[in-house]
Amino acid sequence: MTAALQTIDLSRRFGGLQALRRVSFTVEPGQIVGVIGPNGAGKSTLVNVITGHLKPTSGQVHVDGRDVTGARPWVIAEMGVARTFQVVKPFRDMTVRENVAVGAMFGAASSVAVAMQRADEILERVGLAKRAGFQPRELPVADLRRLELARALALNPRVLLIDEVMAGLRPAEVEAAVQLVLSLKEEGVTIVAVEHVMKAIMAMCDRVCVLHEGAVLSEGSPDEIASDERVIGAYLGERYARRTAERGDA
Amino acid sequence: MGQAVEDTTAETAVPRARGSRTGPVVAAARIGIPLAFLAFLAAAPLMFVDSFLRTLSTVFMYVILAQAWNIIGGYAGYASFGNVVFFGLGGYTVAVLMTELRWPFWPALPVAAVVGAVYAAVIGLPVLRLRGHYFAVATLGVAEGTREIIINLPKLTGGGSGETIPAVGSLATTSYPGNAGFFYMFLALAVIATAVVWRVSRSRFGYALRSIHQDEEAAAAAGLNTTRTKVRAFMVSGALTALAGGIYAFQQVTIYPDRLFSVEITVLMVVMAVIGGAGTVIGPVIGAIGLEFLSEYLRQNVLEYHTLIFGAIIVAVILFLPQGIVSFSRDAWRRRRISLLENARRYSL
Repeated sequence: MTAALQTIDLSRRFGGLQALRRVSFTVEPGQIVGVIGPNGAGKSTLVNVITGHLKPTSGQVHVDGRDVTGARPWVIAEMGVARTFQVVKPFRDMTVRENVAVGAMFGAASSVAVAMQRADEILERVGLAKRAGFQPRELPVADLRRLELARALALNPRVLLIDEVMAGLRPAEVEAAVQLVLSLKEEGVTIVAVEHVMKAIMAMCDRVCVLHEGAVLSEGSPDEIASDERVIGAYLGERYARRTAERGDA
Repeated sequence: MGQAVEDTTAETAVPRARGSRTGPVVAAARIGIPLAFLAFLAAAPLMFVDSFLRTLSTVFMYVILAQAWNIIGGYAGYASFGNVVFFGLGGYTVAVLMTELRWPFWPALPVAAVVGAVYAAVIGLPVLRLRGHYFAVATLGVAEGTREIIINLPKLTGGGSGETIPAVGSLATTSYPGNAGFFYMFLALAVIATAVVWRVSRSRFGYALRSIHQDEEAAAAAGLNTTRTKVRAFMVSGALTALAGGIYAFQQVTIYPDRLFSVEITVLMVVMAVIGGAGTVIGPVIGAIGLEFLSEYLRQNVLEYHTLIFGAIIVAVILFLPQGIVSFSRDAWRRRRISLLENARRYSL
């Protein structure tokens, strides 16, 4: 089977900083792959290079087996790859509804009116329907993250890259977000989730890729990752390992 | 659904507050007032003396320029400080075609639009990669540089000493339309330019421009080809501006590079669009009419201090209404509250 998304020896350098070092990872269609790692590990850089917002210094990006290395962001988007931004980027002078409609407007939707309808459906789904007429500046952070996700969903993506959409959410909200992501998987959407909320990663991912200092430190099922000594040392920490072990025993 | 869609396709960069409704009275006024105004203007040549008619022509010329700037500067957020380059090129296209090639005016004018659009594409492709101040400075440089090229092609353009279009007698290719003729031309083009902006404001293209303005990276991630969109906006802006330049050249008969590529024209169109309300449909109309009449009034009444007072008023308006008259009024209407001081505090940098 052709991988939905694949990077081959992907590297990116910012001046003296090697942000990505020969990162090779593969996402099979329909999978949810988590990308975790400490701050500065290169997670967001990876997303930016895949989606064409940054050009790689070397290496390749393949979508559905097609080499799209260095393609512009809208080309990647047209191929059915949508993303959210870690630092939220709402269109500040548009309503929440218009923000989402813009996501539908340049792809599937044939007119402004159709895009607005589509936006309403998506806002309903992510739980933002009541906020449709609000301006982004009137929303709390959690809703801004939902808005990022809603705008990406408006593209009707086959591959979705979500960059810390659960940061700052309360436990109940994390649970709702996990359910939403799982329901997308049900529909056949392939998902790459950059996330710090380990509970969410453990609950929804098929596989997890751990980045450390720009390189892949470890890769495997969530359970394998959680018990990997190197991952515990570099990222999760002893306390996390002890807690999950205790919970597992109980 | 119909009503809801109407609401969200509001014609400005500042959407209306939630819950606001467009009643039938407002809707009727929106169509009725401009129509009545246009009917009144159509009769203007019968009512007014020639000098006033010339002032009105200039007013509508600036409506066109401010509206054209509004597309690239107001909606797309790319503040061009060289839009006069299209004005000058349009003027020289008409002048050269009529003088050197002996073309009549009417076929020459559309060629000016094409030249404006093509030039916008050629300079836009590299220059629209820049943002903010860098884009402003680059466009300013393009305009100054283009003027120098025109000056240094004396065989074609008459160089620095200008080009004179044969406007009377047997040499004239098109008989001179006179004050009323130019008034109608500028008025018609001002209406067309405003209609174009109105149409853009409620289309996907309008949303594309606004999303580029508000976050270009997010717009690209949403699947928008931002490069192509920006170049198209610049081309529309360039074509409209070049048409105004073409009419202006014929009106003036003799044109000079220093006048047709004057930075002052760029500054005026920018200030008019910004004071009226950049990124709104009627803002540039209000700004152009208001400022041109003000400028004319000052010129006639306090000639020696004209520029000083004009400049001071512009500074004051920008200080108190940085978001423009249209957006300010809308905001004030929504809040049922008007306070210039509060507004200045809220929007000042």
